[in-house]
Amino acid sequence: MRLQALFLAVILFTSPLIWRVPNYWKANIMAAITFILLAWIAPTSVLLMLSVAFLQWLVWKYDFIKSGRIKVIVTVFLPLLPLLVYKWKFATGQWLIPLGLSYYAFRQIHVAFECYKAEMQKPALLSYFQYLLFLPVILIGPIHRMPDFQRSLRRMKWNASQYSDGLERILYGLVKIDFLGNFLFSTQLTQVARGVSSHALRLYLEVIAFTGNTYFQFAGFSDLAIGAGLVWGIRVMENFNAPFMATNMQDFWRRWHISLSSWCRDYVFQPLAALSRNRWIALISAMLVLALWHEISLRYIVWGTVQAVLILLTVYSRKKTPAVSGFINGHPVGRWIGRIWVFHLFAFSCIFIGSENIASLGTNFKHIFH
Amino acid sequence: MYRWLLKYLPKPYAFVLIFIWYLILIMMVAYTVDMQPGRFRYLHW
Amino acid sequence: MLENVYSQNPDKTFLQTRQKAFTYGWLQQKIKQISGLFESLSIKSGDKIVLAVADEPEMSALFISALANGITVVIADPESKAPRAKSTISRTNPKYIIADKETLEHWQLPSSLPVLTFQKESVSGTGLLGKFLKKNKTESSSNDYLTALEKATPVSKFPATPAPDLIAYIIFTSGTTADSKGVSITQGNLAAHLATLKKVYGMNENSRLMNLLFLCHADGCIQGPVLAAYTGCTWHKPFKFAIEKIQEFLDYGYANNISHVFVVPAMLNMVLPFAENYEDSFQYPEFKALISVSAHLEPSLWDKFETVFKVPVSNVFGLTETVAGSLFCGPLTGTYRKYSVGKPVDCEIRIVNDQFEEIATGQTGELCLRGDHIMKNYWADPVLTDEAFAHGWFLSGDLASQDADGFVTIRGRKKNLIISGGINIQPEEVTECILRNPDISEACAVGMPDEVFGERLVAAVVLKPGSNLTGTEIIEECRQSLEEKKVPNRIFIVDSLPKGVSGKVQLNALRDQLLNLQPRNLVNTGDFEDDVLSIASESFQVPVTRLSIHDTSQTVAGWDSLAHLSFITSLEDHFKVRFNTAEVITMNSIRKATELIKVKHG
Repeated sequence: MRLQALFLAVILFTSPLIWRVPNYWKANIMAAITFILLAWIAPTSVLLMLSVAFLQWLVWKYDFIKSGRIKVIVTVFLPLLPLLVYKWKFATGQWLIPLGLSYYAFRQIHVAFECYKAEMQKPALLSYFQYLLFLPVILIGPIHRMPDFQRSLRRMKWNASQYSDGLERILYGLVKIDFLGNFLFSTQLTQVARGVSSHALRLYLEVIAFTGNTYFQFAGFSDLAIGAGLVWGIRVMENFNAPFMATNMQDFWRRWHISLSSWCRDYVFQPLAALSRNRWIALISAMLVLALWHEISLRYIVWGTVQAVLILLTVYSRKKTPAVSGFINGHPVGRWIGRIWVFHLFAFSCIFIGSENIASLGTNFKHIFH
Repeated sequence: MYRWLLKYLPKPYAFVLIFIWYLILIMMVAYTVDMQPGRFRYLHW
Repeated sequence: MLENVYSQNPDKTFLQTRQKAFTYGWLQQKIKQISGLFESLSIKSGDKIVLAVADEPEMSALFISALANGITVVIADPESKAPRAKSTISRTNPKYIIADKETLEHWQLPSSLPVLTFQKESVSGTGLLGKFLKKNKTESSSNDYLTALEKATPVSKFPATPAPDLIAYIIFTSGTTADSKGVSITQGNLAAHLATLKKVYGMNENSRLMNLLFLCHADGCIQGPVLAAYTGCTWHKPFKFAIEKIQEFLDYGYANNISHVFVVPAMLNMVLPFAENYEDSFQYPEFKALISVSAHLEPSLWDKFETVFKVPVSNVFGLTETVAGSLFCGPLTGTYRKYSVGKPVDCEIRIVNDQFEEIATGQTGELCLRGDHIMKNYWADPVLTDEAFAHGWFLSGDLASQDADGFVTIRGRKKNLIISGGINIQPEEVTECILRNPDISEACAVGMPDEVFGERLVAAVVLKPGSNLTGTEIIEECRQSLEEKKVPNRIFIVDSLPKGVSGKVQLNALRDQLLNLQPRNLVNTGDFEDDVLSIASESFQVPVTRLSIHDTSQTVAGWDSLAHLSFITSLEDHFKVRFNTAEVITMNSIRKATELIKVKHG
């Protein structure tokens, strides 16, 4: 939060400068501000991050790898290196500060794939850095896409209502993080839960507190990123689309952390589906990648598998019991039942990641259903 | 929000309302910003 | 005419390029400086100078300074070939020639001619690394324009308004070296027409016009820097228009609140396939008009564009001889009627038959024009001038009809002229060039109807017995002496040309004959590479022996954005595949094309 507050302050105070310089310079100045700030906080990390991007660019620019396949493997694997190094904790946070590292790596992989698919021109070094060094999204995403970013850059123009939308969005983000997330769900609701004598009810309230807090924090941080982007004149993709209004789990994953789930769809699900011609394998792999993106650990593997199974069941039930599925997704009453159902499914699946280890997970479940 | 209010209200009313609304939100944030942050597991870097 | 420049706030932007803004202060300073240079070279009002400078800021400053001093500018295309340039120079006898270094090297002018060489000071835009590696070369010789300019003492005040009957500029229209016509526009013509344009387009000091057309064409120069300077507004020229720049072009207008966008129909045609997600490109409050100039706007294109982008397209009818326009279909209220060229503004028209009698409403006849903006004469050519005027009316050479409400529609051309992608080509010039080859007995260049470019230049050739000259060889030869845009797209080798009793080639019969000739069937050898190379050879008109898989749009001379599109469509037709937008944009090398086709064929 501290770091995010600093970043926000920098964005707000530099926005008059951004809006004063000619269009051509805007992107360079935004990248320069980001670079200076990161270099000041974590010089080694930034150096490493930029070197990886530079190496990728070298591979694109000087066609020394002839095979398209090997090229895409190399350019996808390169950004994963620092990520894996960090996540496996070969190095502690001593020299490698994970400044939005996984977001950063996933952006690089996105570009690598798009270049491979030839849906995008191989980026020039400068524009690649402009894309990667975009302060509003560097800490907590979203994983915005490069063509969108470049288009937004090209269409950038002063628009007072867009600027004020940005400021409002930042305020809403702060309310979500501090008031709704930290205060209401995390502090207050947990306190209420502590006062409850029933074990099951207490844990139930704790699960709700955890899920609610998670959502408001995360959506709040996304609001900050989108709002900050608008203040600098760039439209960043939406990351949440009222996820708890979803009536089934498949729908939920189209509304929750959209930038990551769509990333997994484009760069894990689709290639694997094309390769294996089996969408179940592709789906499970995509959900596993989505889960492991958070943390490489057993509990996230379990969590990811659970999500995949829930989606599979959604699809399966639509086929087997079309009447029930139709009621849940179509009827006004059914929709609310679906929403409550989805909320609880997701909340309970989060017990897997809310628990410190498998043993305490077992205890948690025992307590709830005891 | 302001533009939404303007659809239903004349400008001065919308302005006053939006001012009060933002003020409430800012005070909510100011009141809670130093509170102990809860466990927020989802957000790994 | 230039009062708005002289009195303009010096901080206001005159020209916005991609990276740099040139202010009116800069322009004012330039005018004083260049006027000083003219003085030191004793170039006076009424003298002529030839300008062939590609650099937009410098060219527009030079042009406007010459206008200010009443000096006649002979506008030359920096890309024009030596014989044409030499003929232009010998016919106009200029006091000085200011041209790009590469152009002059190409022209090989006799050393007796007074020349100033323009060479940009710094090398720009070669990528991040390039900028560091490249050193700034500053060789200066005695006839370096920028050095001379620096040495000249700027004049203290702006020159007085020149007399209206002085010739402002001369542009040589397309034609054979002998009969290309030098359109002479006086200061009075220009001033009158600029006032019309400003009024018709609804321009003011706050307008922002984007015109990416060439400065050596009247539509690029007059409706670009000159119109901007006249109105005191800003001219945007961020880049050259090219197929890979289309999305940037649309976004640029939006981002910079461009009020007036100038295009030629071929550009509209190229933009259409890229419209997806860009439909709102002209939807912003500052947008005023999208103006199509230079060539006939096809009704189907007009319809499609207006439906997709939900914006009216204004259509201008004009000739080099009329400065820029004459009849306007929009944006001025009351002049817009789709598929027409609208109504005459600030001029009179007459539609006449061969006996110069006015004809009835709805009948087709030759369009004649009269007004203050019509050129004075063809330079030093009283015979041609006489032919072009009758009873004080200028004969446009276009066939038109007028409806009861006064709207005029163009029906065809009386003169033999090909307009391909907004560029006028005199077919005789091309024919003359082809006939220089001793192996060719007869030749005729014609325009074939084309969806994208309106017309496409091709030539039918009859070889002398025993010759085995190929079309590509002929095209290669044309390329030596003709500008790229006047090189035929295709050469048809035929047994004979259809002729009438008088012995003249019957163009309509020839066109039909050529339409029936199927494109040479490419044998599918199973190897994509060979086929792609031969299609590339056809599309870019380069002998297949000079092409290789390693060629890119940078290394092939004929690979411009126009040829690119025909390359793509030929590939699609031949291989029965369809490329998506991204593929079309990114396919800038033969290798990429081959790989993509391999992928698509599995």
